[in-house]
Amino acid sequence: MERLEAVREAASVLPSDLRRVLLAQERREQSGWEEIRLRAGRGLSCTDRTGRERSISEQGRPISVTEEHLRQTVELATHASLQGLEGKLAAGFLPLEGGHRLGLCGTASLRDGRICAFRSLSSVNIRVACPVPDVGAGLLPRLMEGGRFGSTLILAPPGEGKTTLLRDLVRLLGCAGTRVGLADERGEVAALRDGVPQLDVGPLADVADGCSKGDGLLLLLRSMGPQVLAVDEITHPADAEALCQGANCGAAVLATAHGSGRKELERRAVLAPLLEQSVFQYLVTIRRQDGIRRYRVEPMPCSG
Amino acid sequence: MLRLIGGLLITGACLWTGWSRRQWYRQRRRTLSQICHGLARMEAELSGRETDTRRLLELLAAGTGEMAALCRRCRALLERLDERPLSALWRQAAESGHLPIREEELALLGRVGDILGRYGGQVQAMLLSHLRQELEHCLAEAREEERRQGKTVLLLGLTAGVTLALLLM
Repeated sequence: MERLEAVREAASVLPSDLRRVLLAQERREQSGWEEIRLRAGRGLSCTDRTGRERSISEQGRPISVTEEHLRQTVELATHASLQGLEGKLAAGFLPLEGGHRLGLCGTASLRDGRICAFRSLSSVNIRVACPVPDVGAGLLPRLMEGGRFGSTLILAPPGEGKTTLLRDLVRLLGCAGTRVGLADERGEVAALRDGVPQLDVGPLADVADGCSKGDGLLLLLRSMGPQVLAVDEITHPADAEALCQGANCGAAVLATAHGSGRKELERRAVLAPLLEQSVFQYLVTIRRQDGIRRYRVEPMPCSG
Repeated sequence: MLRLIGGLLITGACLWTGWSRRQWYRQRRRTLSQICHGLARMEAELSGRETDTRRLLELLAAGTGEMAALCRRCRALLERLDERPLSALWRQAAESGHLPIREEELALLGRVGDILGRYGGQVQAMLLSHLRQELEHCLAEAREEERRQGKTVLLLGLTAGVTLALLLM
């Protein structure tokens, strides 16, 4: 039921005609949706837990989606205010109320080499945020060493639940009395709104958003004295550098990265300094089998 | 006596026509001036504070004059954002106000809706500034027309009224 409510909340940014059709689908089906996609000139579709994308139709007829529908979705998502959201737009997505996320794709307008607007939109993707409480409960004891959290890297391909697991581990650590500094550049983990997290990140998480992950990590390190530094998706050398710095200051590190396995991990240049300095003690990989996510914990080898 | 009253009524009616035309010039100038001031305020809010659209409309609606009334109407229409885009709601608000401005000026004003909320604050401010410059050009024309035509239409009304009354009497 909670998932159904999350889907309905996420769908509230759709224009009324599309929303009506979408919410007329079977409730059981709706509660399995993880993404809602709109493609201009094509149709409306939803992706379920197994990753399968299904077209939505109204009485057997496919729904026709126009570029205007996409524009209207963005307007509704931003309350007709893109001002102040340029940074998010440059990243290709907009955070929605409730922690959901609106991904954008189309013909971009650049200013100073950065995306400042979209001249036309071709696709939008609403990713439904639905925290899975205690998804990390079984994992956390395996990531502890001598009563302290061991630095952990969560590795999985996109859409496999890295952020969900990271969020729940941050929450569980907070519940266990560990202070966590969370650098949430894209607002996906905590989804701060007026300073208050929209998603449960526990009682002891200090969140820095609206700045780059590297800057956020350094800010947290300087100002909040975290025992664990958490960051979603290491994509830039500055992120890795800030994590190394945090690890050298005695904070444990919890991070996620795109990748499907250990071999791929070793090929990623951005992660090289972290691996060289043996920052991580554990590697968690996520694999989806028949719609069920399976987590594997393995120790990371020490360098030298 | 009846002819005299009739003559006076005709003169009065023609004079009123001239006077109302003069008032239209005055109102057009005032409305354009209020719109230009409103747009300048929007630009300042957007470039300085990146004020969100709803708040921006509320701020402007708190004032007086035609621009404030337009913002109040648009603010009320925002509830229908899931049915129609902001550009259409703004146009609807602008057109339903029966503003005393020319069609081309109303079309320029309607373009504000194509800008609001669609870009970053700086870009919106820049685009609104271009639009305001065009409207300021219209305002300068309106001032000149009011100065040149205002008295003329009043006198024309009076002259036409007196002439018509004399002819009929």
